[in-house]
Amino acid sequence: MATNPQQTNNQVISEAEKLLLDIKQANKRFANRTKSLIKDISHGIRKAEDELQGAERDLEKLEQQSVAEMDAAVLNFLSEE
Amino acid sequence: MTNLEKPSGIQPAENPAEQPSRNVPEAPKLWTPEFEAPSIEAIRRATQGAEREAEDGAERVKAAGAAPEQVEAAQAAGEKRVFGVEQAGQELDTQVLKTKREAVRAGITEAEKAGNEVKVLELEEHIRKLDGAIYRKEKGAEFSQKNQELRTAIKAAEKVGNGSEVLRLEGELRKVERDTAQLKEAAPEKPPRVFDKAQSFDELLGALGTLEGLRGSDNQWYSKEELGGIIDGIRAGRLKPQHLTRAEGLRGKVMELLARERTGRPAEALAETPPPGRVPETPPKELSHKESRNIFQKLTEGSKNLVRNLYERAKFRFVDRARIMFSGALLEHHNKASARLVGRLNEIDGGVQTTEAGLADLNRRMNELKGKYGPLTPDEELKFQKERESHEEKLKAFKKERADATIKIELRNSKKALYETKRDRLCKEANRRISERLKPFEEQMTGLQAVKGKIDDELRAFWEEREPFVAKVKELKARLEDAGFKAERKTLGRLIKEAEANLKASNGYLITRQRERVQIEGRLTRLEEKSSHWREAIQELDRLTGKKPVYHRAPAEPKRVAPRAPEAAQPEAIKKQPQFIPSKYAQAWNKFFGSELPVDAGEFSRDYFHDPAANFSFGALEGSLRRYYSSRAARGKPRLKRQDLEKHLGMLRLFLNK
Repeated sequence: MATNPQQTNNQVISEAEKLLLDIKQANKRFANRTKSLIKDISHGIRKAEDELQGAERDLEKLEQQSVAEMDAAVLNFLSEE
Repeated sequence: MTNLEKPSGIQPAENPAEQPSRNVPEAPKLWTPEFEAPSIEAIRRATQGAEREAEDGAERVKAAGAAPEQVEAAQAAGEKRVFGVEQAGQELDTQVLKTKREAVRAGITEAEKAGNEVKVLELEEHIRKLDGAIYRKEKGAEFSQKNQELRTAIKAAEKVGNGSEVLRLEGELRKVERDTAQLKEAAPEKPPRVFDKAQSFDELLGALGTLEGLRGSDNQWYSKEELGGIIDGIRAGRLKPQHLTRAEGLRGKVMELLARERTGRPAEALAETPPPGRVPETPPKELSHKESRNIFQKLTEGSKNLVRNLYERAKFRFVDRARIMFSGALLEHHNKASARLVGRLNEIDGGVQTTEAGLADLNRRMNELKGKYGPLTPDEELKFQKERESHEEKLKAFKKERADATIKIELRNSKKALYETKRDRLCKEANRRISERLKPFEEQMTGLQAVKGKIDDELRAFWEEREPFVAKVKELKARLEDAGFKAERKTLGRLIKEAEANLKASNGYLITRQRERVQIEGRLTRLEEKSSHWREAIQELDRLTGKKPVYHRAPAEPKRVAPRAPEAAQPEAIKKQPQFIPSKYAQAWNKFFGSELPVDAGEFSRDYFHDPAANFSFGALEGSLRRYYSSRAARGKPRLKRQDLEKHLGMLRLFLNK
């Protein structure tokens, strides 16, 4: 069954409108989702930086203490009775 | 005290020289701060007792109706007794200090023998303090006695009415009192010594000439001629300063004058310069802990050298220290020492066998002699007896030495076992604590990597979602020509234009997010790098203790020096599968960006790749496309801008990796 040109034109316009809507929605969805993810990860990185800083402080103390113990163990092993 | 009555109430002080063992505590081998004089309280109590006795005695004489002269004499006698007790107390105290000093001096001799310079310096400081205290006590006693004598003399002069003598004696008394006060207020740290004022070797030798000689710390007597000879030897460089006694600060003064004479440097600097051929006793700088530095001083020279070698390039961190603890050189050192002991044990066993054989031979010879000539003569008996005793003594000595060596081997082995247990415990404990402390951070990083993965997924999904939109817009554009009516064409044209604008915006979103992702990647990489020190420690400690990692994340991604935006946005999978056929890559490019830069797939493959059907890495393909772009740019004016080329390359890589 043949369709008239007016119908065809309307169909094309309708498709174009739908496409435009889909593109807009896809853009919006992508922008929102990724914005939220970027925000989360930035916040997470800041927290991880703070956590690492604190861990480094504690671990440096631990390192100092352990290194002294390790040195003493080595030297005591080498010392004669 | 010789011209005074012997005091009562503090018997030990009467003649300390005669009863040192009862009055003075036995000197410890080495002086320690706990070594305290026990006499202070006794002196105080004895003095108070003597004062009471003196007062009571005078009262009793007065009550008995004695003449004033007798009362006065009783008072004077009481005062003398009190003074005597005080003096005895001071002497006892001085004696204690001198005993302490002897003990410290003995400690210095021992430390010098052991080559422990640190201990020597420490004990010398104690000696200086004790010298100061002894000087103050002796001077104080001297002033006190003079004071007492002057007071007695003043009373006597007053009795005979000699006013001028009283005035003179009072002047002397004031001077003595002033000196006593000065001694208390500004007591010198150390008493002036014979050589203190010498400013040149001539003055020093002059001061030495006034003495008979000096007694050294080893109780050896050095005549002034001997000392002069040693000083000359040191000045000429023939002898080391250690040859000279430290008594009266002689060695220190010679060092000071030598420093002044030779270099003009202070004496301390010269003292720090080790004599030629001697290895400095300074521990490696990496041994920063005081306890370790002290233990280092006790090591033998061989062990010190081993420690210096082990610590030569070690940094102050877990990894290096753990490696030292597990170093083969340490165990080798132990094994060598054990081997020496075992060797000695074998020698002893050999000696025992030889001696036993000697004994057996002795018996055999004795029996032979008896068999041939009958009973032995007394001389022969004696000779054999002596020989047997000699063998038996040797056997006894060997057995004792064997027992000692066996104990040493056992001790050494148990020391090794203890060391290994301690080493493993320290490393495992350190590992556990690092892992435990780092765990929250590691968990956060795992979470962040997951979020990063989600961003990658979103980028890829959006790219895929966008692809049919681009195709559809192209199709609509083609159909635009067929639209029958002007109004519809206009509407469709507007919609297509709007769709293209939105597609362009989506492209912008992609680029922006990619840039942000690159920044995130950079921050995560920096965090990984910062924490790598600790992760490396965990891995090394695991390796050394032979433990399989219990809780570790995958190692950090390799550092990117200057990541380009599209590349940095690549997920890990791209790196694992980085290959693609050139013709397909060109087709994929044309599919998306052909309108801006059409690539002739054949030309691209032919001109840039020897085998167009072979797989190539993305890096190689992208490099070729850049060259292709440059060649096109030289020929004409492509619509694609240079800055967009890189973005498109990145997007294509992202897409092709789906």
